[in-house]
Amino acid sequence: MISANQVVHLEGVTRTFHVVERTTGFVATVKNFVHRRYKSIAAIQDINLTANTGEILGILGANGSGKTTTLKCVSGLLTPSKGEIDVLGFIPHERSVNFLRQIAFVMGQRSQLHQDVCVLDSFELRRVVYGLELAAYASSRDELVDLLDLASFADTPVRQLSLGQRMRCELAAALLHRPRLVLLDEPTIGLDFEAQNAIRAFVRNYVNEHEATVLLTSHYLQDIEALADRVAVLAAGRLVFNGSLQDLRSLKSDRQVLSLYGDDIDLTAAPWASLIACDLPGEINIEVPKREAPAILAQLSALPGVRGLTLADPPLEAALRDLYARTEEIKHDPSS
Amino acid sequence: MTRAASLVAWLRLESRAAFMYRAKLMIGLFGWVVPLAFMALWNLAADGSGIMSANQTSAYYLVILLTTNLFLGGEIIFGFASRVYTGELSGLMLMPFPSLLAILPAPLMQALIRCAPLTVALGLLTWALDADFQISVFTALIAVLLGFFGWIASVLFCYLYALTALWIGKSEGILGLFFGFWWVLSGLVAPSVFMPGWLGWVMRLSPLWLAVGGMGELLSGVVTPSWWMPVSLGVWIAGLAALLRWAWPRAMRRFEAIGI
Repeated sequence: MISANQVVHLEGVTRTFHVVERTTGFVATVKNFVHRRYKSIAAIQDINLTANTGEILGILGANGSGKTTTLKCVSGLLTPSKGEIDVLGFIPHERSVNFLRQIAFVMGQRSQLHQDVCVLDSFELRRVVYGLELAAYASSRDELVDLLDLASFADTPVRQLSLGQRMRCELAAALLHRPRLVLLDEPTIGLDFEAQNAIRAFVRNYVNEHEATVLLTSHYLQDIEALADRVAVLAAGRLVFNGSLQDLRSLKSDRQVLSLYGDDIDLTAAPWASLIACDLPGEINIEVPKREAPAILAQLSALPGVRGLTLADPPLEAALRDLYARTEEIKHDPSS
Repeated sequence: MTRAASLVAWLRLESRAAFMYRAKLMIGLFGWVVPLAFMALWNLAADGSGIMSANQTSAYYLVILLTTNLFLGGEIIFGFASRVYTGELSGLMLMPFPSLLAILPAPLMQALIRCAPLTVALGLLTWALDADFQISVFTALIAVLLGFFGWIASVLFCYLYALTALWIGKSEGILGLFFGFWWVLSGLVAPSVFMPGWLGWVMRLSPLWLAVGGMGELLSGVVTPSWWMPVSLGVWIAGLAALLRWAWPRAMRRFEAIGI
Protein backbone atom coordinates (compact mmCIF):
# COMPACT_ATOMS: atom_id res chain seq x y z
CA MET A 1 0.00 0.00 0.00
CA ILE A 2 1.52 3.32 -1.08
CA SER A 3 0.94 6.26 1.26
CA ALA A 4 0.13 9.75 -0.02
CA ASN A 5 3.51 11.32 0.68
CA GLN A 6 5.55 8.40 -0.64
CA VAL A 7 7.61 9.41 -3.64
CA VAL A 8 9.55 6.17 -4.08
CA HIS A 9 8.17 2.73 -3.36
CA LEU A 10 10.11 -0.46 -4.09
CA GLU A 11 8.51 -3.79 -3.28
CA GLY A 12 10.42 -7.05 -3.60
CA VAL A 13 12.65 -5.63 -6.32
CA THR A 14 15.22 -7.96 -7.83
CA ARG A 15 17.46 -7.24 -10.78
CA THR A 16 19.40 -10.08 -12.35
CA PHE A 17 22.04 -9.87 -15.07
CA HIS A 18 22.92 -12.81 -17.30
CA VAL A 19 26.59 -12.67 -18.15
CA VAL A 20 28.99 -14.90 -20.03
CA GLU A 21 31.26 -16.89 -17.73
CA ARG A 22 34.79 -15.85 -18.60
CA THR A 23 37.58 -18.32 -18.05
CA THR A 24 41.34 -18.11 -17.77
CA GLY A 25 43.86 -20.05 -19.85
CA PHE A 26 44.00 -20.61 -23.62
CA VAL A 27 42.27 -24.01 -23.81
CA ALA A 28 39.43 -22.90 -21.55
CA THR A 29 39.04 -19.73 -23.59
CA VAL A 30 38.77 -21.74 -26.84
CA LYS A 31 36.25 -24.08 -25.21
CA ASN A 32 34.30 -21.04 -24.09
CA PHE A 33 34.41 -19.72 -27.67
CA VAL A 34 32.72 -22.89 -28.96
CA HIS A 35 30.36 -23.43 -26.08
CA ARG A 36 29.30 -20.30 -24.23
CA ARG A 37 28.32 -20.65 -20.59
CA TYR A 38 26.17 -18.07 -18.90
CA LYS A 39 25.58 -17.31 -15.27
CA SER A 40 23.01 -15.15 -13.51
CA ILE A 41 24.13 -12.48 -11.11
CA ALA A 42 21.53 -10.84 -8.89
CA ALA A 43 22.72 -7.25 -8.50
CA ILE A 44 19.90 -6.54 -6.06
CA GLN A 45 17.51 -9.00 -4.43
CA ASP A 46 14.13 -8.55 -2.84
CA ILE A 47 14.58 -4.88 -1.98
CA ASN A 48 11.76 -3.17 -0.09
CA LEU A 49 12.37 0.53 0.25
CA THR A 50 10.42 3.77 0.42
CA ALA A 51 11.26 7.46 0.41
CA ASN A 52 8.89 10.25 1.35
CA THR A 53 8.44 13.81 0.20
CA GLY A 54 11.24 16.05 1.44
CA GLU A 55 13.30 13.15 2.73
CA ILE A 56 16.98 12.45 2.05
CA LEU A 57 17.61 8.73 1.99
CA GLY A 58 21.27 7.73 2.16
CA ILE A 59 22.15 4.43 0.51
CA LEU A 60 25.34 2.84 1.74
CA GLY A 61 27.15 -0.31 0.79
CA ALA A 62 30.51 -1.69 -0.23
CA ASN A 63 31.55 -1.70 -3.91
CA GLY A 64 29.26 -3.95 -5.91
CA SER A 65 26.58 -4.06 -3.22
CA GLY A 66 23.86 -2.80 -5.58
CA LYS A 67 23.59 0.90 -4.71
CA THR A 68 23.82 2.20 -8.28
CA THR A 69 21.61 -0.61 -9.60
CA THR A 70 18.95 0.47 -7.10
CA LEU A 71 19.16 4.06 -8.31
CA LYS A 72 19.04 2.91 -11.94
CA CYS A 73 15.87 0.92 -11.23
CA VAL A 74 14.31 3.95 -9.53
CA SER A 75 15.27 6.22 -12.44
CA GLY A 76 13.90 3.79 -15.03
CA LEU A 77 17.27 3.03 -16.64
CA LEU A 78 16.82 -0.59 -15.57
CA THR A 79 13.70 -2.71 -15.60
CA PRO A 80 13.45 -4.89 -12.48
CA SER A 81 13.54 -8.64 -13.13
CA LYS A 82 11.06 -9.09 -10.28
CA GLY A 83 9.05 -6.87 -7.97
CA GLU A 84 7.32 -3.53 -8.36
CA ILE A 85 8.49 0.04 -8.39
CA ASP A 86 6.32 3.12 -8.12
CA VAL A 87 7.98 6.52 -8.41
CA LEU A 88 5.82 9.66 -8.28
CA GLY A 89 2.89 7.52 -9.44
CA PHE A 90 4.77 6.28 -12.54
CA ILE A 91 6.34 2.98 -13.53
CA PRO A 92 9.92 4.22 -14.03
CA HIS A 93 11.12 1.89 -16.80
CA GLU A 94 8.35 3.11 -19.09
CA ARG A 95 10.28 6.40 -19.04
CA SER A 96 7.28 8.53 -19.89
CA VAL A 97 8.01 12.17 -20.67
CA ASN A 98 5.99 13.36 -17.65
CA PHE A 99 8.03 11.11 -15.38
CA LEU A 100 11.37 12.19 -16.84
CA ARG A 101 10.43 15.86 -16.37
CA GLN A 102 10.11 15.29 -12.62
CA ILE A 103 13.34 13.48 -11.87
CA ALA A 104 17.08 14.13 -12.08
CA PHE A 105 19.94 11.66 -11.87
CA VAL A 106 23.43 12.98 -11.20
CA MET A 107 26.18 10.44 -11.67
CA GLY A 108 29.44 11.51 -10.08
CA GLN A 109 31.58 9.52 -12.47
CA ARG A 110 29.68 10.35 -15.63
CA SER A 111 29.07 13.74 -17.21
CA GLN A 112 25.73 14.69 -18.68
CA LEU A 113 26.84 18.08 -19.96
CA HIS A 114 27.98 18.82 -23.51
CA GLN A 115 31.76 18.82 -23.19
CA ASP A 116 32.54 21.18 -26.06
CA VAL A 117 30.36 24.16 -25.25
CA CYS A 118 30.04 26.63 -22.39
CA VAL A 119 28.10 25.64 -19.30
CA LEU A 120 25.37 28.20 -19.91
CA ASP A 121 24.85 26.89 -23.46
CA SER A 122 24.22 23.42 -22.03
CA PHE A 123 21.74 24.95 -19.57
CA GLU A 124 19.93 26.67 -22.43
CA LEU A 125 19.55 23.37 -24.28
CA ARG A 126 18.01 21.80 -21.18
CA ARG A 127 15.57 24.71 -20.97
CA VAL A 128 14.19 23.83 -24.39
CA VAL A 129 14.30 20.05 -23.92
CA TYR A 130 12.48 20.27 -20.56
CA GLY A 131 10.03 22.85 -21.98
CA LEU A 132 10.73 25.47 -19.29
CA GLU A 133 9.17 28.94 -19.47
CA LEU A 134 11.82 31.62 -20.03
CA ALA A 135 11.09 33.48 -16.79
CA ALA A 136 11.04 30.33 -14.66
CA TYR A 137 14.24 29.14 -16.32
CA ALA A 138 16.02 32.46 -15.78
CA SER A 139 15.10 32.55 -12.12
CA SER A 140 16.08 28.93 -11.59
CA ARG A 141 19.38 29.37 -13.48
CA ASP A 142 20.32 32.56 -11.63
CA GLU A 143 19.54 30.99 -8.29
CA LEU A 144 21.64 27.90 -9.05
CA VAL A 145 24.54 29.94 -10.45
CA ASP A 146 24.46 32.00 -7.28
CA LEU A 147 24.07 29.14 -4.79
CA LEU A 148 26.70 26.94 -6.42
CA ASP A 149 28.98 29.88 -7.16
CA LEU A 150 29.25 29.14 -10.88
CA ALA A 151 29.48 32.72 -12.17
CA SER A 152 33.25 32.76 -12.64
CA PHE A 153 33.30 29.76 -15.00
CA ALA A 154 29.77 29.63 -16.43
CA ASP A 155 31.10 30.77 -19.81
CA THR A 156 33.89 28.17 -19.90
CA PRO A 157 33.63 24.98 -22.01
CA VAL A 158 32.85 22.01 -19.77
CA ARG A 159 35.97 20.06 -20.80
CA GLN A 160 38.16 22.84 -19.37
CA LEU A 161 36.60 22.73 -15.89
CA SER A 162 38.13 21.11 -12.82
CA LEU A 163 36.32 18.09 -11.35
CA GLY A 164 34.82 20.17 -8.53
CA GLN A 165 33.62 22.87 -10.91
CA ARG A 166 32.17 20.28 -13.27
CA MET A 167 30.28 18.52 -10.48
CA ARG A 168 28.72 21.79 -9.37
CA CYS A 169 27.66 22.43 -12.98
CA GLU A 170 26.26 18.89 -13.30
CA LEU A 171 24.20 19.46 -10.20
CA ALA A 172 22.92 22.82 -11.43
CA ALA A 173 22.04 21.39 -14.87
CA ALA A 174 20.18 18.50 -13.28
CA LEU A 175 18.13 20.79 -11.05
CA LEU A 176 17.23 23.51 -13.56
CA HIS A 177 13.81 21.95 -14.11
CA ARG A 178 13.16 21.71 -10.35
CA PRO A 179 12.81 17.93 -10.15
CA ARG A 180 10.72 16.44 -7.37
CA LEU A 181 13.05 13.46 -7.09
CA VAL A 182 16.83 13.80 -7.22
CA LEU A 183 19.07 10.74 -7.47
CA LEU A 184 22.67 11.43 -6.54
CA ASP A 185 25.17 8.67 -7.22
CA GLU A 186 28.40 9.52 -5.41
CA PRO A 187 28.13 13.25 -6.09
CA THR A 188 31.24 14.15 -4.07
CA ILE A 189 33.57 11.47 -5.41
CA GLY A 190 37.09 12.80 -5.96
CA LEU A 191 36.29 16.28 -4.67
CA ASP A 192 38.31 18.24 -2.11
CA PHE A 193 36.69 18.88 1.26
CA GLU A 194 35.63 22.42 0.41
CA ALA A 195 33.84 21.29 -2.73
CA GLN A 196 32.26 18.42 -0.77
CA ASN A 197 30.98 20.84 1.86
CA ALA A 198 29.62 23.19 -0.79
CA ILE A 199 27.67 20.38 -2.45
CA ARG A 200 26.35 19.07 0.88
CA ALA A 201 25.16 22.54 1.90
CA PHE A 202 23.54 23.04 -1.46
CA VAL A 203 21.67 19.71 -1.44
CA ARG A 204 20.32 20.35 2.06
CA ASN A 205 19.22 23.81 1.04
CA TYR A 206 17.57 22.54 -2.15
CA VAL A 207 15.56 19.94 -0.25
CA ASN A 208 14.43 22.47 2.34
CA GLU A 209 13.42 25.01 -0.28
CA HIS A 210 11.70 22.73 -2.75
CA GLU A 211 10.53 19.80 -0.63
CA ALA A 212 12.34 17.48 -3.04
CA THR A 213 13.15 13.87 -2.24
CA VAL A 214 16.77 12.80 -2.55
CA LEU A 215 18.25 9.32 -2.85
CA LEU A 216 21.97 9.60 -2.23
CA THR A 217 24.70 7.01 -2.52
CA SER A 218 28.20 7.77 -1.30
CA HIS A 219 31.31 6.13 0.01
CA TYR A 220 31.93 9.20 2.16
CA LEU A 221 30.20 8.79 5.49
CA GLN A 222 30.41 12.54 6.01
CA ASP A 223 27.94 12.94 3.12
CA ILE A 224 25.50 10.59 4.78
CA GLU A 225 25.99 12.02 8.28
CA ALA A 226 25.55 15.57 7.03
CA LEU A 227 22.54 14.94 4.83
CA ALA A 228 20.63 11.71 5.32
CA ASP A 229 17.41 11.63 7.31
CA ARG A 230 17.38 7.88 6.93
CA VAL A 231 19.90 5.26 5.89
CA ALA A 232 19.58 2.06 3.87
CA VAL A 233 22.54 -0.31 3.87
CA LEU A 234 23.01 -2.88 1.12
CA ALA A 235 25.26 -5.93 1.30
CA ALA A 236 25.61 -8.32 -1.66
CA GLY A 237 22.46 -6.87 -3.20
CA ARG A 238 20.29 -7.27 -0.10
CA LEU A 239 18.91 -4.62 2.18
CA VAL A 240 20.52 -5.34 5.55
CA PHE A 241 19.57 -2.15 7.35
CA ASN A 242 16.87 0.50 6.93
CA GLY A 243 16.54 3.12 9.66
CA SER A 244 17.79 6.39 11.09
CA LEU A 245 21.43 7.28 11.64
CA GLN A 246 20.77 6.98 15.35
CA ASP A 247 19.47 3.45 14.86
CA LEU A 248 22.59 2.64 12.83
CA ARG A 249 24.85 3.94 15.58
CA SER A 250 22.90 2.04 18.22
CA LEU A 251 23.84 -1.24 16.53
CA LYS A 252 27.11 -0.71 18.32
CA SER A 253 25.71 0.89 21.48
CA ASP A 254 27.00 -1.94 23.67
CA ARG A 255 30.59 -1.37 22.50
CA GLN A 256 33.20 1.33 23.02
CA VAL A 257 36.49 2.06 21.35
CA LEU A 258 39.56 2.31 23.49
CA SER A 259 42.54 4.05 21.87
CA LEU A 260 46.03 3.54 23.23
CA TYR A 261 48.83 5.93 22.30
CA GLY A 262 52.51 5.11 22.76
CA ASP A 263 55.50 3.26 21.33
CA ASP A 264 56.25 -0.46 21.41
CA ILE A 265 53.03 -1.42 23.17
CA ASP A 266 52.93 -5.19 23.07
CA LEU A 267 49.45 -6.66 23.22
CA THR A 268 50.14 -9.88 21.40
CA ALA A 269 50.06 -11.98 24.52
CA ALA A 270 47.21 -10.07 26.13
CA PRO A 271 43.59 -11.27 26.01
CA TRP A 272 42.53 -8.03 24.26
CA ALA A 273 44.63 -8.75 21.16
CA SER A 274 41.63 -10.34 19.46
CA LEU A 275 39.68 -7.11 19.99
CA ILE A 276 42.04 -4.89 18.04
CA ALA A 277 39.97 -3.05 15.43
CA CYS A 278 42.71 -0.88 14.00
CA ASP A 279 46.48 -0.78 14.42
CA LEU A 280 48.23 2.42 13.33
CA PRO A 281 51.78 3.61 14.03
CA GLY A 282 51.76 4.83 17.62
CA GLU A 283 48.06 4.07 18.06
CA ILE A 284 46.05 0.93 18.78
CA ASN A 285 42.25 0.91 18.76
CA ILE A 286 40.43 -1.79 20.67
CA GLU A 287 36.72 -2.43 20.54
CA VAL A 288 35.52 -3.51 23.98
CA PRO A 289 32.15 -4.30 25.59
CA LYS A 290 30.84 -1.05 27.11
CA ARG A 291 30.31 -2.45 30.63
CA GLU A 292 33.84 -3.87 30.78
CA ALA A 293 35.49 -0.74 29.39
CA PRO A 294 36.45 0.92 32.73
CA ALA A 295 38.13 -2.24 34.00
CA ILE A 296 40.05 -2.82 30.76
CA LEU A 297 41.02 0.85 30.70
CA ALA A 298 42.53 0.56 34.15
CA GLN A 299 44.50 -2.55 33.23
CA LEU A 300 45.79 -1.17 29.92
CA SER A 301 46.94 2.12 31.44
CA ALA A 302 49.41 0.12 33.52
CA LEU A 303 51.07 -1.46 30.45
CA PRO A 304 54.64 -0.37 29.64
CA GLY A 305 54.94 2.10 26.74
CA VAL A 306 51.40 3.48 27.05
CA ARG A 307 51.52 7.29 26.98
CA GLY A 308 47.83 8.02 26.69
CA LEU A 309 44.36 6.46 26.52
CA THR A 310 40.96 7.60 25.26
CA LEU A 311 37.56 5.97 25.43
CA ALA A 312 34.84 6.86 22.92
CA ASP A 313 31.64 5.57 21.34
CA PRO A 314 32.38 3.66 18.14
CA PRO A 315 32.26 5.66 14.91
CA LEU A 316 29.59 4.97 12.32
CA GLU A 317 32.17 3.03 10.32
CA ALA A 318 32.23 0.36 13.02
CA ALA A 319 28.52 -0.38 12.63
CA LEU A 320 28.88 -0.35 8.86
CA ARG A 321 31.86 -2.64 8.97
CA ASP A 322 29.73 -5.25 10.68
CA LEU A 323 26.94 -4.81 8.14
CA TYR A 324 29.30 -4.93 5.17
CA ALA A 325 30.83 -8.07 6.65
CA ARG A 326 27.50 -9.73 5.96
CA THR A 327 28.35 -9.63 2.25
CA GLU A 328 30.41 -12.81 2.43
CA GLU A 329 27.86 -14.46 4.71
CA ILE A 330 25.05 -13.70 2.20
CA LYS A 331 27.15 -14.86 -0.75
CA HIS A 332 27.72 -18.21 0.92
CA ASP A 333 24.22 -18.59 2.23
CA PRO A 334 21.72 -16.38 0.35
CA SER A 335 18.92 -17.39 2.70
CA SER A 336 20.72 -15.87 5.69
CA MET B 1 6.39 20.76 -30.92
CA THR B 2 8.82 20.56 -27.98
CA ARG B 3 10.62 17.75 -29.82
CA ALA B 4 11.15 19.89 -32.94
CA ALA B 5 12.16 22.89 -30.83
CA SER B 6 14.59 20.66 -28.93
CA LEU B 7 16.14 19.43 -32.16
CA VAL B 8 16.58 23.01 -33.39
CA ALA B 9 18.09 24.06 -30.04
CA TRP B 10 20.43 21.09 -30.19
CA LEU B 11 21.52 22.01 -33.72
CA ARG B 12 22.19 25.58 -32.57
CA LEU B 13 24.29 24.23 -29.72
CA GLU B 14 26.24 21.97 -32.07
CA SER B 15 26.92 24.86 -34.44
CA ARG B 16 28.70 26.61 -31.55
CA ALA B 17 30.66 23.43 -30.78
CA ALA B 18 31.55 23.02 -34.47
CA PHE B 19 32.93 26.53 -34.82
CA MET B 20 34.77 26.24 -31.51
CA TYR B 21 36.85 23.34 -32.87
CA ARG B 22 38.08 24.65 -36.23
CA ALA B 23 40.57 21.88 -36.90
CA LYS B 24 37.87 19.19 -36.72
CA LEU B 25 35.71 21.17 -39.11
CA MET B 26 38.55 21.65 -41.58
CA ILE B 27 39.63 18.00 -41.43
CA GLY B 28 36.05 17.03 -42.36
CA LEU B 29 36.62 18.75 -45.71
CA PHE B 30 39.27 16.16 -46.58
CA GLY B 31 36.46 13.61 -46.93
CA TRP B 32 36.08 15.08 -50.43
CA VAL B 33 39.34 13.47 -51.48
CA VAL B 34 37.77 10.01 -51.87
CA PRO B 35 35.04 10.88 -54.44
CA LEU B 36 37.49 13.12 -56.29
CA ALA B 37 40.04 10.28 -56.50
CA PHE B 38 37.42 7.89 -57.92
CA MET B 39 36.32 10.62 -60.30
CA ALA B 40 39.88 10.95 -61.62
CA LEU B 41 40.06 7.18 -62.08
CA TRP B 42 36.74 6.81 -63.93
CA ASN B 43 37.33 9.90 -66.04
CA LEU B 44 40.27 8.04 -67.55
CA ALA B 45 38.30 4.86 -68.21
CA ALA B 46 34.90 6.31 -69.05
CA ASP B 47 35.32 7.49 -72.64
CA GLY B 48 36.50 4.10 -73.83
CA SER B 49 33.69 2.26 -72.04
CA GLY B 50 30.84 3.47 -74.21
CA ILE B 51 28.66 3.59 -71.10
CA MET B 52 29.43 7.04 -69.70
CA SER B 53 31.52 9.92 -71.00
CA ALA B 54 34.22 11.58 -68.87
CA ASN B 55 31.99 14.67 -68.56
CA GLN B 56 29.18 12.47 -67.26
CA THR B 57 31.40 10.75 -64.65
CA SER B 58 32.51 14.24 -63.55
CA ALA B 59 28.87 15.22 -63.10
CA TYR B 60 28.19 11.92 -61.31
CA TYR B 61 31.03 12.38 -58.80
CA LEU B 62 30.23 16.05 -58.18
CA VAL B 63 26.75 14.96 -57.07
CA ILE B 64 28.35 12.21 -55.00
CA LEU B 65 30.42 14.90 -53.26
CA LEU B 66 27.19 16.51 -52.11
CA THR B 67 25.36 13.32 -51.12
CA THR B 68 28.33 11.80 -49.27
CA ASN B 69 28.77 15.06 -47.38
CA LEU B 70 25.21 14.74 -46.10
CA PHE B 71 25.49 11.00 -45.46
CA LEU B 72 25.98 10.60 -41.70
CA GLY B 73 26.41 6.82 -41.51
CA GLY B 74 29.84 6.70 -39.88
CA GLU B 75 29.00 9.35 -37.32
CA ILE B 76 25.71 7.67 -36.40
CA ILE B 77 27.16 4.17 -36.16
CA PHE B 78 30.35 5.03 -34.30
CA GLY B 79 28.70 7.84 -32.32
CA PHE B 80 26.08 5.44 -31.00
CA ALA B 81 28.67 2.75 -30.18
CA SER B 82 30.81 5.24 -28.26
CA ARG B 83 27.78 6.45 -26.29
CA VAL B 84 27.02 2.84 -25.37
CA TYR B 85 30.57 2.09 -24.22
CA THR B 86 31.03 5.30 -22.26
CA GLY B 87 27.57 5.05 -20.70
CA GLU B 88 26.66 8.48 -22.07
CA LEU B 89 23.52 6.85 -23.46
CA SER B 90 22.18 6.54 -19.88
CA GLY B 91 22.17 10.32 -19.54
CA LEU B 92 20.41 10.72 -22.87
CA MET B 93 17.79 8.12 -21.94
CA LEU B 94 16.83 10.19 -18.91
CA MET B 95 16.07 13.31 -20.92
CA PRO B 96 12.51 13.88 -22.16
CA PHE B 97 13.77 13.62 -25.74
CA PRO B 98 14.28 10.55 -27.96
CA SER B 99 17.80 9.35 -27.28
CA LEU B 100 18.33 8.19 -30.87
CA LEU B 101 17.62 11.68 -32.18
CA ALA B 102 20.19 13.10 -29.79
CA ILE B 103 22.96 11.44 -31.81
CA LEU B 104 22.04 13.33 -34.96
CA PRO B 105 22.60 17.07 -34.29
CA ALA B 106 26.42 17.04 -34.03
CA PRO B 107 27.21 15.33 -37.38
CA LEU B 108 24.28 16.99 -39.13
CA MET B 109 25.45 20.45 -38.14
CA GLN B 110 29.02 19.64 -39.23
CA ALA B 111 27.66 18.47 -42.60
CA LEU B 112 25.48 21.56 -43.03
CA ILE B 113 28.41 23.87 -42.27
CA ARG B 114 30.59 22.02 -44.79
CA CYS B 115 27.87 22.64 -47.41
CA ALA B 116 28.90 26.31 -47.69
CA PRO B 117 32.46 25.73 -49.02
CA LEU B 118 31.18 22.68 -50.88
CA THR B 119 28.71 24.76 -52.91
CA VAL B 120 31.53 27.05 -54.02
CA ALA B 121 33.75 24.05 -54.82
CA LEU B 122 30.98 22.36 -56.82
CA GLY B 123 30.46 25.49 -58.92
CA LEU B 124 34.18 25.79 -59.68
CA LEU B 125 34.61 22.08 -60.44
CA THR B 126 31.53 22.01 -62.72
CA TRP B 127 33.10 24.80 -64.76
CA ALA B 128 36.65 23.41 -64.67
CA LEU B 129 35.71 19.82 -65.56
CA ASP B 130 32.92 20.75 -67.97
CA ALA B 131 30.64 18.38 -66.09
CA ASP B 132 27.71 17.18 -68.18
CA PHE B 133 24.51 17.52 -66.12
CA GLN B 134 21.27 16.56 -67.85
CA ILE B 135 18.50 18.27 -65.95
CA SER B 136 14.84 18.61 -66.88
CA VAL B 137 12.05 19.75 -64.58
CA PHE B 138 10.99 16.14 -64.01
CA THR B 139 14.58 15.05 -63.35
CA ALA B 140 15.01 17.89 -60.85
CA LEU B 141 11.77 16.92 -59.09
CA ILE B 142 12.81 13.28 -58.80
CA ALA B 143 16.32 14.34 -57.68
CA VAL B 144 14.92 16.52 -54.88
CA LEU B 145 12.64 13.71 -53.70
CA LEU B 146 15.52 11.27 -53.92
CA GLY B 147 17.77 13.55 -51.89
CA PHE B 148 15.21 14.07 -49.16
CA PHE B 149 13.87 10.51 -48.89
CA GLY B 150 17.32 9.07 -49.46
CA TRP B 151 18.72 10.98 -46.52
CA ILE B 152 15.91 9.77 -44.24
CA ALA B 153 16.28 6.16 -45.43
CA SER B 154 20.04 6.23 -44.92
CA VAL B 155 19.67 7.63 -41.38
CA LEU B 156 17.14 4.91 -40.49
CA PHE B 157 19.38 2.23 -42.03
CA CYS B 158 22.39 3.47 -40.08
CA TYR B 159 20.40 3.67 -36.83
CA LEU B 160 19.46 0.02 -37.28
CA TYR B 161 23.04 -0.94 -38.07
CA ALA B 162 24.25 1.05 -35.05
CA LEU B 163 22.07 -1.02 -32.71
CA THR B 164 24.34 -4.05 -33.30
CA ALA B 165 26.71 -2.37 -30.82
CA LEU B 166 24.32 -3.58 -28.09
CA TRP B 167 24.50 -7.25 -29.09
CA ILE B 168 28.15 -7.59 -29.92
CA GLY B 169 30.53 -6.66 -27.12
CA LYS B 170 33.45 -5.76 -29.35
CA SER B 171 31.55 -4.40 -32.30
CA GLU B 172 34.39 -2.60 -34.13
CA GLY B 173 34.58 -5.45 -36.69
CA ILE B 174 30.93 -5.42 -37.68
CA LEU B 175 30.86 -1.65 -37.64
CA GLY B 176 33.94 -1.60 -39.89
CA LEU B 177 32.20 -4.06 -42.21
CA PHE B 178 29.62 -1.39 -42.85
CA PHE B 179 32.15 0.65 -44.78
CA GLY B 180 32.78 -2.27 -47.14
CA PHE B 181 29.08 -2.38 -48.02
CA TRP B 182 28.83 1.38 -48.10
CA TRP B 183 31.70 1.95 -50.52
CA VAL B 184 30.37 -0.58 -53.02
CA LEU B 185 26.59 -0.33 -52.65
CA SER B 186 26.39 3.45 -52.40
CA GLY B 187 28.07 3.93 -55.77
CA LEU B 188 31.13 5.62 -54.30
CA VAL B 189 33.56 3.11 -55.85
CA ALA B 190 31.81 3.15 -59.23
CA PRO B 191 28.44 4.01 -60.76
CA SER B 192 26.06 1.02 -60.85
CA VAL B 193 26.26 0.94 -64.66
CA PHE B 194 29.95 -0.01 -64.43
CA MET B 195 29.23 -2.93 -62.14
CA PRO B 196 28.49 -6.52 -63.28
CA GLY B 197 24.78 -6.93 -64.03
CA TRP B 198 23.71 -8.66 -60.82
CA LEU B 199 25.71 -6.29 -58.60
CA GLY B 200 24.29 -3.31 -60.45
CA TRP B 201 20.79 -4.56 -59.66
CA VAL B 202 21.63 -5.16 -56.00
CA MET B 203 23.03 -1.64 -55.81
CA ARG B 204 19.98 -0.06 -57.40
CA LEU B 205 17.69 -1.83 -54.95
CA SER B 206 19.68 -0.81 -51.87
CA PRO B 207 18.79 2.32 -49.89
CA LEU B 208 22.48 3.27 -49.85
CA TRP B 209 22.55 3.68 -53.64
CA LEU B 210 19.20 5.44 -53.67
CA ALA B 211 20.52 7.86 -51.04
CA VAL B 212 23.97 8.48 -52.52
CA GLY B 213 24.72 7.27 -56.04
CA GLY B 214 21.17 7.32 -57.39
CA MET B 215 20.98 11.09 -57.62
CA GLY B 216 24.38 11.16 -59.36
CA GLU B 217 23.32 8.70 -62.07
CA LEU B 218 20.03 10.55 -62.47
CA LEU B 219 21.56 14.01 -62.91
CA SER B 220 24.34 12.76 -65.20
CA GLY B 221 21.73 11.21 -67.50
CA VAL B 222 22.75 7.58 -67.02
CA VAL B 223 19.45 6.59 -65.44
CA THR B 224 16.13 7.69 -66.88
CA PRO B 225 14.12 9.62 -64.27
CA SER B 226 11.24 7.55 -63.01
CA TRP B 227 8.81 7.48 -60.12
CA TRP B 228 10.11 4.07 -59.10
CA MET B 229 13.10 5.70 -57.40
CA PRO B 230 11.27 7.83 -54.80
CA VAL B 231 8.56 5.16 -54.49
CA SER B 232 11.07 2.42 -53.68
CA LEU B 233 12.68 4.79 -51.18
CA GLY B 234 9.27 5.32 -49.61
CA VAL B 235 8.92 1.53 -49.26
CA TRP B 236 12.40 1.37 -47.73
CA ILE B 237 11.57 4.16 -45.28
CA ALA B 238 8.33 2.45 -44.19
CA GLY B 239 10.11 -0.88 -43.74
CA LEU B 240 13.14 0.55 -41.95
CA ALA B 241 10.98 2.70 -39.66
CA ALA B 242 8.85 -0.32 -38.73
CA LEU B 243 11.96 -2.41 -38.11
CA LEU B 244 13.51 0.32 -35.97
CA ARG B 245 10.31 0.67 -33.98
CA TRP B 246 10.46 -3.06 -33.30
CA ALA B 247 14.19 -3.17 -32.59
CA TRP B 248 14.60 -0.06 -30.42
CA PRO B 249 12.80 -1.32 -27.27
CA ARG B 250 14.68 -4.61 -27.58
CA ALA B 251 17.93 -2.70 -27.96
CA MET B 252 17.13 -0.72 -24.83
CA ARG B 253 16.52 -3.93 -22.89
CA ARG B 254 19.85 -5.11 -24.22
CA PHE B 255 21.48 -1.88 -23.03
CA GLU B 256 20.11 -2.69 -19.59
CA ALA B 257 21.46 -6.21 -19.80
CA ILE B 258 25.02 -5.09 -20.36
CA GLY B 259 24.58 -3.02 -17.23
CA ILE B 260 26.13 0.33 -18.10
